[in-house]
Amino acid sequence: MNWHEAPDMRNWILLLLLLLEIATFTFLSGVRFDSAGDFTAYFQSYLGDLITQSTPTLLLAFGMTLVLITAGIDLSVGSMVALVGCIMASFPGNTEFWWTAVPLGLLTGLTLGFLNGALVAWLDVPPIITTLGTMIFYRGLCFVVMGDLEKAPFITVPGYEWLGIFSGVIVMLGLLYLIGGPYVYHSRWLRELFMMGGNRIAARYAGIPVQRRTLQVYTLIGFLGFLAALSFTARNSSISAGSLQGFELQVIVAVVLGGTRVQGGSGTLLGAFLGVMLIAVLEEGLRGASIWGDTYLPFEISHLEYIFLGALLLIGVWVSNIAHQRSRA
Amino acid sequence: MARALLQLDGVEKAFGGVQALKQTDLEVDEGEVVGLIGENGAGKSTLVKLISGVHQPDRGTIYWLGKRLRVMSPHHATQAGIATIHQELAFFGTLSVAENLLMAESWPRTFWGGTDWRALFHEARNRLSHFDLKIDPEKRFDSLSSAEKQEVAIARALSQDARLLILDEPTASLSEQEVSRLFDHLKRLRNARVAIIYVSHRLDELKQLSDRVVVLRDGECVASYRTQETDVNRMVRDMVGRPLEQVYPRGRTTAPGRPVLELEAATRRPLFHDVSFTLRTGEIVGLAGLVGAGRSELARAIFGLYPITSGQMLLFGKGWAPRGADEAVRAGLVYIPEERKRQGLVMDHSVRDAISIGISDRLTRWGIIPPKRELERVQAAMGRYGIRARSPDDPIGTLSGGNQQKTLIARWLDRAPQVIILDEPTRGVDIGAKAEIHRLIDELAQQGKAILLISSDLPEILGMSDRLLVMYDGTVVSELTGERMTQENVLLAASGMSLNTSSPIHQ
Repeated sequence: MNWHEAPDMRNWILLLLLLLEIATFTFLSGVRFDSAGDFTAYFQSYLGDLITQSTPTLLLAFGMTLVLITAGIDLSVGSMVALVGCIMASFPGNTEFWWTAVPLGLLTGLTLGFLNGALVAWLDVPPIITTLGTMIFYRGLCFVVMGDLEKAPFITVPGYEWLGIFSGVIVMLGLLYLIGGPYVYHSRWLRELFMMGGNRIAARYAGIPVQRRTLQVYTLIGFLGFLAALSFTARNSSISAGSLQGFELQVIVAVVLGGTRVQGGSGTLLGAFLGVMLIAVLEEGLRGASIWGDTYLPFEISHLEYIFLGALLLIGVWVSNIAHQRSRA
Repeated sequence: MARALLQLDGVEKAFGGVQALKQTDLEVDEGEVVGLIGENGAGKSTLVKLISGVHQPDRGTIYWLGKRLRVMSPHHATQAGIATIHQELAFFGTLSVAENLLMAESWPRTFWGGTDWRALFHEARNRLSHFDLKIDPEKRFDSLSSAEKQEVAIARALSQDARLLILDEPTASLSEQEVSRLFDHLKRLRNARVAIIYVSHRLDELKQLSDRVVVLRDGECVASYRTQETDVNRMVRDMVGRPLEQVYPRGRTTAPGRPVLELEAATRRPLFHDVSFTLRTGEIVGLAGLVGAGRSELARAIFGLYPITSGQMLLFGKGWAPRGADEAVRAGLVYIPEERKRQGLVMDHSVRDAISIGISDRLTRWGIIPPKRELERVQAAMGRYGIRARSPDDPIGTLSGGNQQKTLIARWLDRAPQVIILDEPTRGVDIGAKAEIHRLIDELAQQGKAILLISSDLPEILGMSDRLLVMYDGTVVSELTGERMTQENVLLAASGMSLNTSSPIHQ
């Protein structure tokens, strides 16, 4: 696939699907539009909730796309975000928090990411195994730090809640996707990641510092994990050692749905964004639709979530494989 | 004389429009060792494949023990008593020696229907000791040395009462000691009246081992003589047989200038050792040798893909110990690899990507590759190097081999490097593109670039180079200049023979 052009078509399809999905669920959840004012108000709060809720996923989808492009993967993101959160949660919730917990959280995120990168780059262990290992390892550290407690110092940190509301996350996401995205898209750095994923040996022969780039990508994920931890803890206001289990799967499903090939060498950030939104709308919609559905169906509609998620992933992979074969023929 | 075990009578084979083998006759007697030699593409493998049943002849007859034999499949040939050991051994690395050895046979069973492992290992041990092999049958096949693997292959091939053993380049990956052990086995087989057809590039080996040598050239059997009655020079002459047909461009008039790349006893065992030479501006130095002699391995070390372990290298007079290819590229030294699909290109990325990655550090402003400037540079390069694609966004995989190669060349040449290493630059490339690449190489030398040319295409390397270094077994054994640059001399040196005495080189 020619990565400059081909995925565009796919992104339009994703966008169309997303709109269709929103329309369906709006109808199913029984929203009534008696006036234009109600309508706008409804959508403002709906979209606002949707975005703030999916912020951690959106942040890591950015990094996951890049790492998948290099033919790598990071399964440890859920544990990583949880560990950063747990470490920050062990500080008392006062103004000091900004100067102690937050920098330490940043350092933790970077370190965890760097560690993943170092293992992948230097030990030459397949990324899926390396990060499966660190996923379990980091989770174990969460329990060591937190025990069985659930801590919530974040509520009392002055100004912290801003990170979890719409205006806060939109700054974070805007910087990442609207400024960082286009920059990365045209960068030489991304070009090198693409070549690494397309043909690792050829990348080495082309003078690309493959190990250094690998380290950078995984460390970037660590940084994004730190941001995700901020927004997660600010919105949920508490965290425990078991938080965010299965988060990595959600991120990967979204990114793959967005057209990034797991085999490497192809993918788009816009697709990843749309993929996350598609899933978020689905989850939110199923929750809303249960009010309507439970009266007609013998089970709760929201219980269908995993079935839809699994089916979406399979369809996503299938479609991108077809597109890939087309472009080769 | 014993009656002919195998006789080929006017055998022919064509693939598509290419006549791989024309009107070939061959006779092999019981207990005779026949060496089969010829250049690449002379028809050796085709002949082997006809006898071993991989292909069927279009015309002609194969007689086996005096009777007409139609070998329809490799299995059929094995049953008839023809055992073949191909260059690439077909084994299961993660299974035991015994399992590999007895792969094609029925295994002893226990009462419960499972495999009787003790009996299996016992049988394997017997089989191995029959051939005087001291290999533990319970070992994993992976853990054997190349020589031991070869021995197991021979034991397997011969376990079904083979009367003819065909070996295709069996010594390509063996050390000298291992080769002599293999020869002991082969001699023992010969004494047991097994006939052997031995395909090899290494003429010194044939001289030691074979009773008779058959030379193939352009699909024809051009000579056949008793080994004692011939010498290596004659074999080489018969193999080459024709004068240089192609005219190679030589527009350059400049004399070689100052040295740019100097190697002193550069070593990285087991890839290469004690390599010393000097490459100057404006000259083309050819690096000849057989596959596996260490030419590409040496080139990769110079390019910084891995370090040398002893000796030293100088680039532009300064110590050269690059830690990666990026360092080499920045310093003005580039390597165009031999396997363009594996080492060069990403087949489903665009021509634009493939070219601009080479100059991306120069295009980049604030980390960004400006699309317009990139496109201009890429289009200019495509024009300059005659890369024919509909658009710069075409996937590389849709281009012809020649255009892919030119793309790879364009990637590096656009940054005007001073030292260029080309590894098999015209392999799998059509004649038109080949001529263009040759002209380009000549122009580069004219511009004062220092060029190291690795090629297995003898006419090409002789026609293009100002002087030749010949590698054998990991080191440069000979430097040829002027009138001594002949196919005969290259072949002699590349197969480990010293040039005048026709005896093996001892180091």
